[in-house]
Amino acid sequence: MSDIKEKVKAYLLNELHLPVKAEELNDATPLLSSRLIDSISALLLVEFLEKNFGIQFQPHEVNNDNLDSLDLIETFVRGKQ
Amino acid sequence: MGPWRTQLEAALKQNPAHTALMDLKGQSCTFGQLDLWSAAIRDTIPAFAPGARMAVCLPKTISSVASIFGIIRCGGAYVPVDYDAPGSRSLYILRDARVEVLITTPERAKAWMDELDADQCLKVDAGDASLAVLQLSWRGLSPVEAPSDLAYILYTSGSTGFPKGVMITEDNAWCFIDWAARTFSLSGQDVVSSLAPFHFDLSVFDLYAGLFSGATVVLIDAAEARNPLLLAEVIDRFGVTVWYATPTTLKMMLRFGRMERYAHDTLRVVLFAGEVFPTEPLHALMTRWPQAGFHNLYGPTETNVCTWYSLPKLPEPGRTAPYPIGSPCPYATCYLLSEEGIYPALPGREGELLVGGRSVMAGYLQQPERNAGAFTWHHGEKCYHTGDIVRVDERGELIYVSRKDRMVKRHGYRIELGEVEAALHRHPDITEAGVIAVAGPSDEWRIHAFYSTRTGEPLGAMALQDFLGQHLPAYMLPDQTELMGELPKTSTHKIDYPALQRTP
Repeated sequence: MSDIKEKVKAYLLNELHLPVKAEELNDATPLLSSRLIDSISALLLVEFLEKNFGIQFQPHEVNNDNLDSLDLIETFVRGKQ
Repeated sequence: MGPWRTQLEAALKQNPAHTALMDLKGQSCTFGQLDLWSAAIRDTIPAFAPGARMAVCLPKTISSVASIFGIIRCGGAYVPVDYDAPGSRSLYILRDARVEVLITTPERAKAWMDELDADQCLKVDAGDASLAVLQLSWRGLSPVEAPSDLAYILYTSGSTGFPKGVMITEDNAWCFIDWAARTFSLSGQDVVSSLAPFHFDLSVFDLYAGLFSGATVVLIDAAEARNPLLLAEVIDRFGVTVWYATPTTLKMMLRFGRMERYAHDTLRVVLFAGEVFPTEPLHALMTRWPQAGFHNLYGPTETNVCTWYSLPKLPEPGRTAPYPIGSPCPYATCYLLSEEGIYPALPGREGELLVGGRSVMAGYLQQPERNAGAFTWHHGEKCYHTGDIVRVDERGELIYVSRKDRMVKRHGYRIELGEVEAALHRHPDITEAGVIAVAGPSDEWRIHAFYSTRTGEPLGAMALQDFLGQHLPAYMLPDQTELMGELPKTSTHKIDYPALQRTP
């Protein structure tokens, strides 16, 4: 697993307390569309990504297309860096 | 034809070149186009009897408004069905209301064709969208009784596990719309937000008070409404003047919206409803938008808005208690029911709020027993039991105290905890279920579900959420699920909810 995904996964499990075990959460696990992450946690995740990876979300970029799995998050973060 | 329908006709003709609707994806239409498109839908709808129910199951777009208006213009009553809700729930609503017509996307029409056994499927173009109009007859099911002046039916969470249909007549709707448009001085100069989905009663203000006044309405869909960064930007992008949202949405905008980037100087009216607005974030918002008037609107779906409170221009220093829900709207009467009886809402009294007057619903569709319990006749007036305990302060303003039953509100939506339990009970491995609401870190309700299984083994959290998602809309899904060997019971063998509340 890449560095970005590792950091995000740790944040999801340890800070946002996602109700899943680490082994249940893989790179493609749907996060928002499955409601594992609620809307407030999604926004906390956006703040975490901005702070830790030096990127900035535009308002329309906060959506499932960019945040729904570890894979999508990594793609978005790399595209912005 | 009453003002509900005549005012719609008048609004569509009055200023045909003015923009009626805009959405965040760049689509827009004028009142003239909305007139044409809704007329095309009206003319496609097959003949029907007065009071016929017609469902709209569409994403929140311009064509969904044209569809609702087409139904109103042909004399039908509309039943908005959440396009994103689980299919089983939507189909239950269509069947329960015995809708004679369903307007939906061609894809959804195809998916539901067998389930619905449609008599015919017509196509109609409303602007840029092609819609399917299905005619349904529900052979073998008993017909339902509904008033002939029915305007719409909104389905809300039901404690027995099935949603219940709140029947709102034309006059029920009209008295609120007329009052709201006058009270907040809406006009063609206004740009009104539409954040609520059309199956939620807050949308009645946006669509009708807004468009009937000639204002432009900005359609914001469910996913967009969950993105406070976007909402904060939208106010400036469209020059929104009237913003109507739940406290949850407003709190999210304050916390995550990067509000400092925007002027927001077009806002003149901010309305909130659906739940209690904690005072601290409300004051922060009032300080950020000093030019806007803030108003708290209160009322369950069954009565529409029935009381309101205009907040002072400046936050009351040192105030921590939530602001009142205020005084009755001119079309509503309020009484308090306590152990001593039914009394006028006078200072010092406390009890369950009963609401009478023009806005009170006709009843729940097909629910004679529930209707018998929902209303009390007092001085010749049909009064609805809100289930909300309120007290009256020394100035005569109503203050919300608590709920009487097992209903909570989240994001302004009603959640009957019994409906969540009923969904858990549908799982083949679950033998017992108990659902409670606990206050989260920022005052919002969090839903905790406890269950036991046949095998004593836990169900995977994701698999369980996935299962529940097939029966419940997203806003009802529990935040936490926990396996117990056996649920705690009271001496009468009922689930001991206080004991569940004490579970760490």
